[in-house]
Amino acid sequence: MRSGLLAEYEDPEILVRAIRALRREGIVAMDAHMPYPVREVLEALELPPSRVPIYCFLGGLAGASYAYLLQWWTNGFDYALNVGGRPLGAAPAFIPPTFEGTVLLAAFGALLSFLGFSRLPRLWAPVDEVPQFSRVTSDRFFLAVDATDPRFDRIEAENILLASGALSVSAFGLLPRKEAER
Amino acid sequence: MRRRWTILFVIALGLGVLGLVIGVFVDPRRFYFSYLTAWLYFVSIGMGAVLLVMTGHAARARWFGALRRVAEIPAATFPFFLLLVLPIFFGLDELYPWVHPSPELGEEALHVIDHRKSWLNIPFFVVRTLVWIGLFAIAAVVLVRGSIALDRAFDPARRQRLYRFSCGGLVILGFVLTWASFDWIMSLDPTWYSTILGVYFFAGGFSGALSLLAINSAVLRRAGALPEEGATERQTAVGRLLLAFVIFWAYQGFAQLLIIWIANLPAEVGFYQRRSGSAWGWVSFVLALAHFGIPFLLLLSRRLKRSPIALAAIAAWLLFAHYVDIYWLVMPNLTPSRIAPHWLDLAALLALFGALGLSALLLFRNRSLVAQTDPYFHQSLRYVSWP
Repeated sequence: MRSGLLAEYEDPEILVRAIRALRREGIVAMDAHMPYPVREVLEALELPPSRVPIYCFLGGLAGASYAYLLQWWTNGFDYALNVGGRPLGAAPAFIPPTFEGTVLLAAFGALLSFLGFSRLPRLWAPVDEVPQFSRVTSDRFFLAVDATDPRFDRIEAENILLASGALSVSAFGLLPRKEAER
Repeated sequence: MRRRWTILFVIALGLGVLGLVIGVFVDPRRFYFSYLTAWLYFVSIGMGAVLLVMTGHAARARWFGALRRVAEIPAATFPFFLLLVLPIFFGLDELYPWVHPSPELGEEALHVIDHRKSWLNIPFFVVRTLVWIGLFAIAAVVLVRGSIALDRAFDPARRQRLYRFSCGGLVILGFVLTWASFDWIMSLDPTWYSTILGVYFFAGGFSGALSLLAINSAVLRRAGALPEEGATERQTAVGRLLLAFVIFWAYQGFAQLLIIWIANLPAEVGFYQRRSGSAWGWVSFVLALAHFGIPFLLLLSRRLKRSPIALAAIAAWLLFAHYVDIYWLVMPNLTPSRIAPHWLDLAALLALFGALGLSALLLFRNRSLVAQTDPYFHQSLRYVSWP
């Protein structure tokens, strides 16, 4: 999120009420920052289902085929080796490395897609400009409203956030010109 | 609803017993093999259910609080196996080649059988079988009676006793199950041995018990006998366990195959030779797909695990696959070169299904299906299966 408003809360329940109030006004582009995950907040945000499992599955599939085909090709064709009279394409013997390959690339798929979707590692984000935000890792709950939301209106959003019980509301990032002029 | 199930079980029992009575005169050899298959099927699930309840106690599983009684239903019927095993004792001669080894087996096999005589003989086998079932039956009675006593008045000390009983009992029953699988399944083949068979038998039975838990809790929830609060969360947890044990089963089955196949020793490899020919090879293939490939891919989906009907359907499929598993273990010893399904298989299955179903209904007549006095029950309602 490049720019928008950051509201500070003392309590996740108030945060949930603020999310609902904003959604009622049609503002949906927002993100919560909390010291620990709160199920109610995640539910209120109505986030789309994570795409990480898909990449994890695809990684597993790729790992299985890569590991199996590698053994099949090397043992069966490239350097055909007769081990104890077993067939060259000895499927049962290929399974343990195939399993390892599946696990390895599935883990990579999960980890890398997670990092990619969350744009990590990242040392700085526009919300870090707000001084109060340093308390997000100890005892404060924050709601960031994205200025790129088509229904975003700085005055209106600020009013809703303050009315919902925010301790403070601050702007962060470079707000779009029409908002900054106000 | 209770009435409908009673009628269903009575019909199953009636048809099954009728079939078995006719079968014992028409084809006694087939009768014993069919009965052993069906009996092993239900015994493995029953053992799985007892171990599941014990694991719940030993792990102090709070989420399990509202499902414990449902898991106890199949466990509670275990003492009936002491009665249901009796027909097998009359057919030991037909079932096990070590009773009267025929000279056709060859010198090698006869030598092995002779060597095992002090362990594999009828009196000792009968006593062992009764001890194995008896120990599981004692565990089942202690656990279910203890759990029902907790219903009347909750007593932390009593639950602590159940916890201790379960922790120690799991170790003992783990050995018992292994020895039982050696006696009942491995000795069907005169020379074969596989030290992993016990774990394999456990994996199949435990996934069967979890499948039964998924189906029973879906049925009872539909009937309104189980709390709705947090039901989806608990069901997801059961689905996850099911996924884990489907994988565990495949792991054990594959480990057994890999070691025997790669060593290629005459005494062991016959087991897989019989099961990879033109007839049983297909069953092996179907078994791998039905007990692992298909349910594994389906259970990966979070949405399917959260839908009561979908999970119950996958569980029902797994119960079918578990029967194929037991059939695959037992039947190649009767007809090594062909697959010969027989109506007696169905009759034995129906008879035991009816008998055990009726005994479960009888045992849990007028009993609460939830342990409401237990603090774990209330924690179970708030259980969150995250994400």
